Amino acid sequence: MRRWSRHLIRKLPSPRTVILSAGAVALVLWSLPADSTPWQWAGLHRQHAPHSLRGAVPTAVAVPDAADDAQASTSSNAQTGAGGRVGAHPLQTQTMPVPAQQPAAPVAPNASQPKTPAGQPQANATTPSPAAPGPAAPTPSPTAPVPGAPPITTPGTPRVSLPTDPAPFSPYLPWPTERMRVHVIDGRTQQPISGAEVVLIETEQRLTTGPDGWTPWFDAPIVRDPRFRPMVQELHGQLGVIVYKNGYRDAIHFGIRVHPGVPAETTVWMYKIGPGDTRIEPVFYEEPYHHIWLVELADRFRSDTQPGEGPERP
Amino acid sequence: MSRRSVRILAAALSLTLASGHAAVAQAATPTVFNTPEPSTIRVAIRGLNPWGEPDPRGRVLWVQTVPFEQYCEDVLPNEWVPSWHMEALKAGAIAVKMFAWYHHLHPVTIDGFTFDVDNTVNFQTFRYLSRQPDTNRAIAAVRSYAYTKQGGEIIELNYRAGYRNSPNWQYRNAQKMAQWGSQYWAERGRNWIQILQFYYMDRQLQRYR
Repeated sequence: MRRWSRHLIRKLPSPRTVILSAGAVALVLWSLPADSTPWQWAGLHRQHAPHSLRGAVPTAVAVPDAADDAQASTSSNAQTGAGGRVGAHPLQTQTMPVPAQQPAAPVAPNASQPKTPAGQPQANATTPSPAAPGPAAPTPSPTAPVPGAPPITTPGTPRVSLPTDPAPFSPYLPWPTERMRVHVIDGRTQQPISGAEVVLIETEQRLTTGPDGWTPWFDAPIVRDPRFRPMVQELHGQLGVIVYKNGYRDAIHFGIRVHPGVPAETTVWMYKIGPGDTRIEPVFYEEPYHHIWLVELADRFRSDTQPGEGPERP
Repeated sequence: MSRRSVRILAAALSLTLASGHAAVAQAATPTVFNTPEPSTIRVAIRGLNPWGEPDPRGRVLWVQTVPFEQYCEDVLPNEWVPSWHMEALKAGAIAVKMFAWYHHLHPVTIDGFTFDVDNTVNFQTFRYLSRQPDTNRAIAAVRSYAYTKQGGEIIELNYRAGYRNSPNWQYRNAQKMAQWGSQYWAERGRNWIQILQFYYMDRQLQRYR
């Protein structure tokens, strides 16, 4: 009996080990959130493990979950007209709380701002602005899934913003805007064309040219390609327009430069349909990238072992 | 022919040659005081590369004659960035104008086309009707000024992209303006004359109209 009890005591941990273990368990329990669920645990993990995807592209569409649909539907009616933030999930807005994409540029108040969590009322969600496009527009409810949307984000998906980026890209924020107008001329006579219909592709705005060939000034979004943002942000946004005019070929114009802080103008050429034109298709023109930016982009990835043309020399 | 006649003829001939040399010397050194600003400039339009940009190595397709000031307006937004500081744009406007002015006085003939500049980075990037309100304002602000050698000789003011957020001292040593450098100094309160003075040493600002 005595031998058995001595053996049992030897098998049991010492009081010091018990105290240390209890302390460690208490520390772990104390560090967990009070209302933790596996979903939020995943979110917690996502917040702390993002840094391996340096320079990756952020996912454009988030997933609404069923639990939040009811909440979202109560506040979504005021937001549907903007055609903006499909699937702006409260959890997503919590995990990607970023400042405006261009803090210096004016931001038009519109309904496309990120939803406040838990259906809180939003101050400026009443005036839909076409100048703040979202990643997908056509569905009436912001919580409805988008047909043909990119792959769905899962809770465990790592966040992709860079830790050093002061203003990481977020598709849930409105684009900054700047004033712009379009001049439409005849490509052969160089004369202005009045009454032409100009459609801004990104926002579906429609404008009509006046007698001088100019559209009125309008707010155009400054849309930069997010692919390049973590590396070398483009110097200007780029837009596309389509111009229609009876008797003329359609004109598609891409890459129109919109600079933050300064008004922009662009000219679109149109070509009259002649009697010999049998196959009539749109005329396409794309503005090239600004070469200052191309120089910067090339320098950004130049290596010492294979410098190519080398760094720019005076 | 008498000896006297020969002497007179020789004197006349030497006088003619001397005046010719003087004329050549004068033509070789055009200044803002003896050379008016060009009214037009001949721009060679080069063929596009497959992705639609004018190719510096492309074939010359045609030569377009453009009003000189319009040429400057259609170059500046493609060389400088319209959202940059106005003083940087003004410094750029001077450089663009003087570069074009110099090459207007020194045309070239390539592939049977005679022109002053082309529309690519061989000279200055030019896109027809691409002018912007802010860059137009910069050009208008420096319309009366030229930046020349001491004495007013028209020279080619060269520039390169340079590096962002840097004064680009190395370009100063090469008598070239750094485009990013102009923005760097303008953001720090330098005006366009100070920026030009920083990059182009021993040059002079001239008012010619």
